[in-house]
Amino acid sequence: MQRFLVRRILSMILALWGVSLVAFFLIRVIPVDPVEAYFAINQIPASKESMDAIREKQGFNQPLLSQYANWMWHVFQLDFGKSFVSKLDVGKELISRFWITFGIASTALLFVVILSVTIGVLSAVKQNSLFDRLTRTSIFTIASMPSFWLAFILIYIVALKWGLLPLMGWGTWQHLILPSLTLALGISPYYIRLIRTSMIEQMQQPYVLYARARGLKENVIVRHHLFRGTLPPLLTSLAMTCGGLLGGAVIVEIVFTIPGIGRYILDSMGARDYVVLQGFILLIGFFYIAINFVADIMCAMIDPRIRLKGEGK
Amino acid sequence: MLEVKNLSVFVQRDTEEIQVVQDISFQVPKGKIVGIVGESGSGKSMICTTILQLFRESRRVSGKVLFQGESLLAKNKEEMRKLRGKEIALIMQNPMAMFNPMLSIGDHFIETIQAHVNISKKEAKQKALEQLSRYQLPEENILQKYPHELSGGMLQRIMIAMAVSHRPSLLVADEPTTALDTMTQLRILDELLEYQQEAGTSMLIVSHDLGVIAKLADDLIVMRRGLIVEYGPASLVLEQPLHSYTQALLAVKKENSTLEQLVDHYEEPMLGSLVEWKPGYWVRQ
Repeated sequence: MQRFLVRRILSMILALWGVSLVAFFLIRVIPVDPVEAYFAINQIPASKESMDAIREKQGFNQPLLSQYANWMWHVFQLDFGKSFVSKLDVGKELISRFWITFGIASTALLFVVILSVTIGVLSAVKQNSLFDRLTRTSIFTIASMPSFWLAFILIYIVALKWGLLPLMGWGTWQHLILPSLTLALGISPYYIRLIRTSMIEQMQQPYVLYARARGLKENVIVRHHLFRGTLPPLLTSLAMTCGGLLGGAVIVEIVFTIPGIGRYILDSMGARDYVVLQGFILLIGFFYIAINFVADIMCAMIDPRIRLKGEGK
Repeated sequence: MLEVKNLSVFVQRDTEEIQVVQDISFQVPKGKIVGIVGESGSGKSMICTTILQLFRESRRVSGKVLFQGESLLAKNKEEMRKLRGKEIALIMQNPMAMFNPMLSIGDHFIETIQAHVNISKKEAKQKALEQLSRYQLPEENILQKYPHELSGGMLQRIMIAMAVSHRPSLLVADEPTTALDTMTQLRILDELLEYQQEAGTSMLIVSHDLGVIAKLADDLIVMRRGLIVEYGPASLVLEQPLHSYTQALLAVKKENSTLEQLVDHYEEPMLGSLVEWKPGYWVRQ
């Protein structure tokens, strides 16, 4: 287990470094000059001198590598720099907005887990029953709807018709439900299928027969043997989705006019605000890698074969 | 104890229904060991899983299986579950595949004990430890081990220790020593015999290996293609087999050839009906 941990931590650090490279260099490949964009957006007539002055001040004239080193040096001290446009501290701005997006994404994740585990397990155990067939059909319908359309339907029914939850905006926990539900409904079908298939596959395993031969109760077989076996693929795949969930939250934020990170990033993209974009990619990257790391550890705790892999018996 | 009467088993293969066990009758008296020997595909394993009612949904069964006078085929799912592992325990072949690779030996042991007795995890663990020490298995740390960390022989011994932990009145062993080396085979057979004699358990042992059966069985059933060929006291059947197939089986043992060679060479059709030649000794003639 220790060796497994060390290996995973090392590869995590490597991945993070890769993210920082991508965040820094890829943005600079985009063929729009941030200084020009700044002048254009603020409708200031640009002169060569004033543009050069800003370039000098921002350090854009220095060689790329030293710009990168300088940025990384500050990042290690948790200083993400100041926005090129608003002159506000990027770290603070990002984090304060990130929590909103994170709230939506994690509530959505909670919905996904509750929905897919209950429906997935039930439809596997009651295979080919009416319940199984009904969910299979409705899953396809829901999965084929784009999330913004799903959002409109939910807003119309739950918020407008029934008046149960707020229409849009941000502030209370009620504001959290519809956006997260929109996100969750979009991806739950995938997990319902994943859990159902994995459980049914395992029913054919000899160890399930042996469990029956020992007289275990069916619900114990489901919990100890079938569900446990679906956990590693489920966790891995959920962790991979987390990035998508944050991205999806951005779209949902716009539909529900929530002041999350989505709008902020969209504006910064328009302004080619390097500092903000770099910080954002690094933050999301860090988050994504950390979640996958946790998922890997959990898988290794569940399945001893994973933590022994490559260690040699 | 166990009485099987005119048992036939049918399985669905693709579109047709195949009869894998044909009109078989035998009994396992209390405290006795009955062995079934036959090549693979003779239907011997089918008999084991049918007694335990393990493939209820996918098999059609006719005839009677009486356990302590009660019909097993008439029992419902939950009644059958309560018997399985408690009154009738199964020892299976290929232990490497039978244990769940994600659960430790302790998890397997504890869930087996808790399936039939309402006790806490801690008490179940204590029982598991007692059981392991009775079978001279290294106790404390073996419970934390995972199946892939142990040898097939070790897993088979654990399987036996687990099977007898509820002191079943009938032990069904389906190829308990197949795929194990000779020394381990002997050790496992000794342990089984020792337990059987000490507890007075009835036992049904199934194997393709006549040597295994010869070592344990009081009565011997020879099967081929779902039919009984010869059935009688083991000493008589082994000493002077009447049916040519049994003779061929014994010859395999003597000549050290393989069972596959026998299957290839023995081509006589299974004709005639089962006749009681001596009291308690049937042969197909």
